[in-house]
Parts: sequence; C-alpha cells; structure tokens
Amino acid sequence: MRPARSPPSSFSWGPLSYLLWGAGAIALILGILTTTPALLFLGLPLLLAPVGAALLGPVGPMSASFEGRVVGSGREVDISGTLALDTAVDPNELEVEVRVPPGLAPRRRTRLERAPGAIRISLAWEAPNPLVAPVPAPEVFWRDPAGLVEREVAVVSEPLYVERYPPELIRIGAARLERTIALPGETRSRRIGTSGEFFGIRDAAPSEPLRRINWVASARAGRWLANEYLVERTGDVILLVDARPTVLGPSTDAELFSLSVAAAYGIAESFLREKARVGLGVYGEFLHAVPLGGGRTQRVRLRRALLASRVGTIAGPAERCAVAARRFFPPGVSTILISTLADDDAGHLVPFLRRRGYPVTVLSPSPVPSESSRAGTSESDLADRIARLVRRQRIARMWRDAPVLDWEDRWNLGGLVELLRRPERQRRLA
Amino acid sequence: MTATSAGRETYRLGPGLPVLVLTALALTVVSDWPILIGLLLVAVGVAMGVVVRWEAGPRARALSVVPVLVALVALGARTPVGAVPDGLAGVAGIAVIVWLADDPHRPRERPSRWFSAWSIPAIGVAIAWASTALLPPTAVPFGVAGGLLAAALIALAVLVRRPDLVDRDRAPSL
Repeated sequence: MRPARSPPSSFSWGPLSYLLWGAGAIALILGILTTTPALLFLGLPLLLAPVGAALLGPVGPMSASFEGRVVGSGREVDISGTLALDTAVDPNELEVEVRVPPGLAPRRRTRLERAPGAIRISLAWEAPNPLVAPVPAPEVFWRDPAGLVEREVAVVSEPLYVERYPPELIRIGAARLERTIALPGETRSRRIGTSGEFFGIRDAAPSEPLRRINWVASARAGRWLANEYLVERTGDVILLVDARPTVLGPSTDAELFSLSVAAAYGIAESFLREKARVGLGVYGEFLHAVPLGGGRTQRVRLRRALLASRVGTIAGPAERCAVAARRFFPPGVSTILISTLADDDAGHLVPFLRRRGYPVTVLSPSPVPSESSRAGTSESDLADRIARLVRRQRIARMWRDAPVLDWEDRWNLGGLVELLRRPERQRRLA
Repeated sequence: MTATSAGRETYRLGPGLPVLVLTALALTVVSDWPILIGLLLVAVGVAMGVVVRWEAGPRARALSVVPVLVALVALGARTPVGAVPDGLAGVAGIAVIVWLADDPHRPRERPSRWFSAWSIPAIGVAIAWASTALLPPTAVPFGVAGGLLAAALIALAVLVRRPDLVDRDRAPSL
C-alpha cells in the first residue's frame, strides 16, 4: 500500500510575528511623530526578532520517515515507532504532535526518546468501543524558541490501522455458511484452513485457539505449534451495513456506525482467514458494494471501503437495497445485516432481503447504552427501562423474519457466533 | 479530534518574567510618568500577559504579548531623551522576546537555542544604542537609529513577500 505523506516541508510566520511587527511599526511611527527615541529603541527588537528567528532556523526542506506498529489487545492500543530524520537537524529542536483519531482516547502522555537522527515515539491510547481507524502520521515541526516562525517536516509513513473488535469474532469464521458453489455436497478445496483433513503443522500465532494447538508436537519442539487442515468447504458471506440516518441523531448514528464498521471488519477478517469469500454492501441512500472476493487483497478492499463509508444524509427505501444487492451478489448467500434497528423503517430491510433470496442474520448495535450514558438524570433509569422494553419488543417482532442479536455489550459478540453456528435455527426460520 | 503534543520538560517559571518585570520597572523609574501610574501600567500589563499565556487556548495565546507591549509603549512614549532611557527602552524590547521564549506550554529550551532567540534583536539594539550614545550629540544618532529601523522594515517586507528566501530548496544532485 502507498505510504502516507504529509504536505511538503513548509515555512510559515507565526501569528506572534505579525503582532510584533505591528507593535514595532506603531512604536516606530509614534517615535517619529513625537520625536521620542525611546520608542524607536523599543520597536527595533520587536521588528528584528521574527527576522532573526527565520535566519537562525534550519534552511531548506526537512523530511523524515516514520515506521511504527500497533500492538496491545482489547481496549489498550499501544503504538511504537521510530521517526528517522533525513535532514541534519537536532531532534531536540523538533516538536512532535500526534492527532488522536476519533473514538480513541490517550491513556498516558506521549513518550519521546530523542537520539541523534531519530526520535522514538511511544503512544498509549484506549479504545472505549470496538473500532477500525487509521493512525495518522505524526506531525513534526521546527519552531523557534519564541514561537515566531515554524517549519513543518514532511513525514513519510506506512499506513497504520487500529483494529479492535470483540475477540469472539475470531471464531465466527468457523460458522457454517450457505453453499453457493455450483456442485452440491462437500467439495474439497486445495486451500489450507482450520478445519477439514489434516494437512500439516505450523508455528502457532499468539491468538490461536487452544483446540488448534498440537500439544504433542508442541511438547516435542518446545514451542507452540498448531495444526493446519485442507479446507473442505467454500462459503460466501455478505456483510450489509445499514448506513441510513435514524431518529437517534447524527452523533449517536455516527457512534453506532463506527461500531458497525468494526464488527463488519472483524467478521470479514475472520471469514477471509477461513478462505471464505466475503462481499460488502454499505447502504445509505444507495448501495455501495464490494463484490464477493477472498484473500488479502479483498481484506484491504473491504477495509478501505469501510473506512471511507459514512452515515448517509438521506435514507434510501428498503426495497432499493434488496434490488441493488441482486446486481452485486448471487441469491442464497449467507447475509449478515448490521443495523441499529432504531426505527421501524430499518426493520423493513429484512423482509425485502429475504424475498430476494438472501438468508439474513441481523446484528443490531443497541443504541440504549449510548443514550443512557448521556442522560445522567434521576429519571434516566426509568427512561432506560422504557427504551429497553421498546427495543425488546421491536427485536421480538424482527425475529419473525430473521434471527437478531441485540448487541449491547460492546466487547462481546459471542451471541452472534452461537447464532451463526446453529444452522437448525436458521433452517427453522426458512 | 484532539492532538497530543509531546516534548521535553516545560518551563514553570523561566528567567523571562523576572527580566521583563525588572526592565519594565527600570523604564518606569526613568520615564516621566508618576511612579504609581508607571507601576500600575507595568503590573496590569505584565499580569494580563501572564494570565492570558497560562489560561488561553493555543490560538489566543499569542495575544498575551499585547498588554505587555501596550504598557511598554505607554511608558516609552513619555521617556525623556538620553542614552540611559533609550538603552532601557531597547532592553525592554529585548526582554519581551526573552519572555516570549519562556512559554510555559513549550518545551524547555537549551541555553544556546534560548540565547539565539534574542541575540539578533540584541545586536540591533546594541548597534543603534552605540551609535546614539557614542557619536556626537547632534541629529545624527536619531538618523542612524531611524535608518536601522527603516532597513529592518524593508528587510521584513521582503521576507514577508518572499518567505522562500529563507526556505530554499535543496540543491538537486545526481
């Protein structure tokens, strides 16, 4: 992927420079008008200071490259990296600013270690809710001690992403999907996966489930080893994210949409890891789709599409989504609809999709926790209870058309995994 | 979206504030203002400047220099002609730059860098004051100081119009 690059190194006068020049010019004019040399002497350093600051600073464009990685797990997001300076400038004279992406909060102050030619940056953020967000490249400035002039260092950075979603989604890829290949029955794939015929042993990843660990081989080798299998199935799954505005308002809509994006990305990543094909549709006024595909490239495509999507300003009719979906995806594909179901219109999407041949499972980020945390009054308990009852009733109605998971605990999606792994429930509904 | 800025240790109370207060008080003593009014001007100007710099946001922080400059210009406007008052006025102008270099929200500077912030204005004032104090007491000193000021104004006009003069591209090479 293309590295992100900040604008070219630039020089700019600070607002303080203009203030000093203005004050110096006033002192000069007053001094001449009143023939008071003291004002001339007072104005002289004010006029010279910005010029002196510009002359003393580093000359020419400055550039640097940033290489970092995102570590940590769950809510903790730790980013460490090194800013390598391509220009001969003292790192002690540089200031580093890092923009915190929306949805993240700093856990502690940014730590910098300055060495000759490089600055090591250590960031500690917290993700209160699941999210997928790009990490912006650090902004690096040279400023004179008085803050009169500023030069920005052009920073080239490899794109970094914070990807946090409920850990249960790692297992969701093992769920049975509706088969969409031409030949019915079990079809052996030549792809390697986590289920099927035993194929071989490989080094285990830190996040490997215990059931995949080959305990005997691990004991012999002295390191964690996991089994690999020849994948026996090829499933397709469509992720449909409802990006229509609701009665909840723009800020709550945006917050819940961010959750939907994180869930969609987590689900997609898990299924892609299992070699399934994943398609994505984001429905606001119109359907924006990423056709079914697999592999790493599809992962990047999906991430890019999800990060570019926003809550729409106009809500498209439910039938349009179902009609448009048929242009991009074949019928019969397992479909996971991620929608807040905040109003009755949102629920209309499910029957239309079913009529067009998509077996739907609904994941619904609940707006109740977001709304209740903002109330904070003595009557909020009662309001919360009423809101939960209304929501429970709406979801109960939805169950007539499709299985629905009310996603209230932001860091737990075990319910969705169980729902998808129990095909009998879906068959009963069909 | 917020930004975390990271740097070194910041100033709690740098040398800039004492230097500014002392030079402003010295200018008060030599000025024609009644001493109480002069002290009031200094106290109000400096206090407002310090408070604005501590409390204001990043954008409004630059305005902290305004009350300080207003107080100093008011003092300078009623300062008699003489080598000592003129020199004190110049030192007061330099003290403003020294105070600005002690921003409590910015990293603590190394002594050499801190010195470089006010060295060029100090050299300019020193040249102007020396030409005033050491040359024969005619209209010439006033003219020298005025000439220096005019030169500074021209230089800054050129730099404002062409900032690339101090921001040259790196020479291309094979």
